[in-house]
Amino acid sequence: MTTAATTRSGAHRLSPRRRPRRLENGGFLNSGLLLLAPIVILEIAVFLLPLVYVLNRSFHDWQPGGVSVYVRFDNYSTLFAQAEFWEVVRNQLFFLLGLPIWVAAPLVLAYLLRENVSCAGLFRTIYFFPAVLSPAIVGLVFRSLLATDGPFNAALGTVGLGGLAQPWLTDATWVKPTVIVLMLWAGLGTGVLIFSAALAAVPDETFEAARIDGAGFWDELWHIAIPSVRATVVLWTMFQVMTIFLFMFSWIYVLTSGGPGLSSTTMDFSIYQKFVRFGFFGAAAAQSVVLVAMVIVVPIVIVVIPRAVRVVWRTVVQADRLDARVSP
Amino acid sequence: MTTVRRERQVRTAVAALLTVPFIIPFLMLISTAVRERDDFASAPGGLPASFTFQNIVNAWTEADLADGLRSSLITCVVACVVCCTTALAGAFWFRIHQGRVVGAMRWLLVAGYAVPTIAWLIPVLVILAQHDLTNNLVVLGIVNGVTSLPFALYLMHTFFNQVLSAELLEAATLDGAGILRTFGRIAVPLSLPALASTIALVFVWTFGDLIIAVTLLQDTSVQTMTLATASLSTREDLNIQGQAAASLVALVPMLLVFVGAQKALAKGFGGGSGK
Repeated sequence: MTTAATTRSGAHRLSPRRRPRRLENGGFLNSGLLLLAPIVILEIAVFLLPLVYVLNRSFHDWQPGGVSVYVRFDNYSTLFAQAEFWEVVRNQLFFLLGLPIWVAAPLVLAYLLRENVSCAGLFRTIYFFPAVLSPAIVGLVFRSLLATDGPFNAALGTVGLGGLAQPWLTDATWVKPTVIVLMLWAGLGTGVLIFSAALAAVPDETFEAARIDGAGFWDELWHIAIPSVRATVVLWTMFQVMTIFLFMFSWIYVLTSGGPGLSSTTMDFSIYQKFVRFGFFGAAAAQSVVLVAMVIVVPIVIVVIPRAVRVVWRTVVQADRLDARVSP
Repeated sequence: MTTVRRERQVRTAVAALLTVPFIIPFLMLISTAVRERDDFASAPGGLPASFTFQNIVNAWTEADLADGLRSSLITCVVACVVCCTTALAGAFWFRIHQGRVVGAMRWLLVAGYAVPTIAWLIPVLVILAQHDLTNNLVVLGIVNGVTSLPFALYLMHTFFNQVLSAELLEAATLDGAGILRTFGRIAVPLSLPALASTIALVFVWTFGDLIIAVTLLQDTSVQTMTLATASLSTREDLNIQGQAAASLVALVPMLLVFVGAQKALAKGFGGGSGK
């Protein structure tokens, strides 16, 4: 009797405050599904179900609020027959040409800042700055700065480089490279932050050992830093690919409105225009489905191709070495 | 020893030189926004020789930025509440439950990040329009909050894996705390640093969002600050100086959050770069 009482009061002392346990003993509540349910429901409601809906609508002559007739693959065949659609796809692929510089620049910079730099933190903060600003607002800033008669060209003239002035955003040849450079500007700091974190996890001894062997800055970067953070390089590359396919809308909307002509139109901007401006609802649905497919396929291709090249390369090099060993 | 010092100087000089492209545009922006019209017209790329608030005042009234700021704040608060409460609860659930199926489920929820916004946004617009829920700031806030969920879940789950050790959770269970009480009494108080950085990110993203606002707010009488400012790019009557002035104003709230939350941001990202 006494022991039982002690144990019970002991248990009382352990649990700080005891409310009626009825609630917590309910199976649903106790498994904590109450905590999981909101995120699952919201993501399904906002991401998944609308995607299923748009997939279904892409096989219809979609008239929101009206009667939509089932048309099988008509929307797709019309879409693929349009020269405009292929121009937009080419734009997307052209923007991907920026990939090497978007990955290399933050990597080299993070490596440079890794050690032996005064105020490295301050520099990182300054580079990171654009990441917290709205692309729409920054786009507007550059739209006014890069206007043909705007401050940037005028400043080039002031310092005697007037010959370099260009209609950066209104010329079909210049607009895409300009956007690539602006994306570098916008993403550099985030990349530096991510690569800095990855490099910080590499033990110092690795670098010291290389230095004793007489490795210079670029040797060390190429042979030690990059291989040690390869996973992060792949991650950041994927991140940049997704940016190009998913998050260009604000930039394009404000900077160029997709122009001149269609020369800077991205998939998302084109879908938006088809739906909101022109009312080609079925075509917009079909193009949305194509965009989702691209987002799945392109990263796979980008990861798989370099890997295949590396395997082939390694086989070739090994064969060469074997030959060299055999021949003398 | 001297070579080390010399290398330090070179490295610092290179890093400093690379800050120029990040500082110059903002100086140009400010100088464009605060100059008088004649001064700007005579030398758009030169240094300002005059100072006026007129452009900023014009932009503020022309684009109705005061109303935009109010709408933006409402949207941001709703988005932060929706995103942070849901992601926090979900991240905690995934800390408690582990295994292959649960892991795959978590991966799927984080992969929501890669769903193209425009692809789900158009059907969402159609459905909302059928229920007369467009031009609604609360709905806009909820949708924005959900957009940030995948990243918030990832961030908070990583954080929980670091701070909620198996021993701690076990101790809570031994003390008789159910999962809800462990969440409320232990996980939530410990999550404050990650929560702060998530709030900062969701605020900045929602404030800066254009694609969702421009799609769900069809009526020009309801506009967020970013939408109102971005719309200036399609208006011919406002000159370069007006655009510069408006974007300068629209940058201020984001800068304030950035400065205020900088420490929390560094902590939330794991602080690995604080070397």
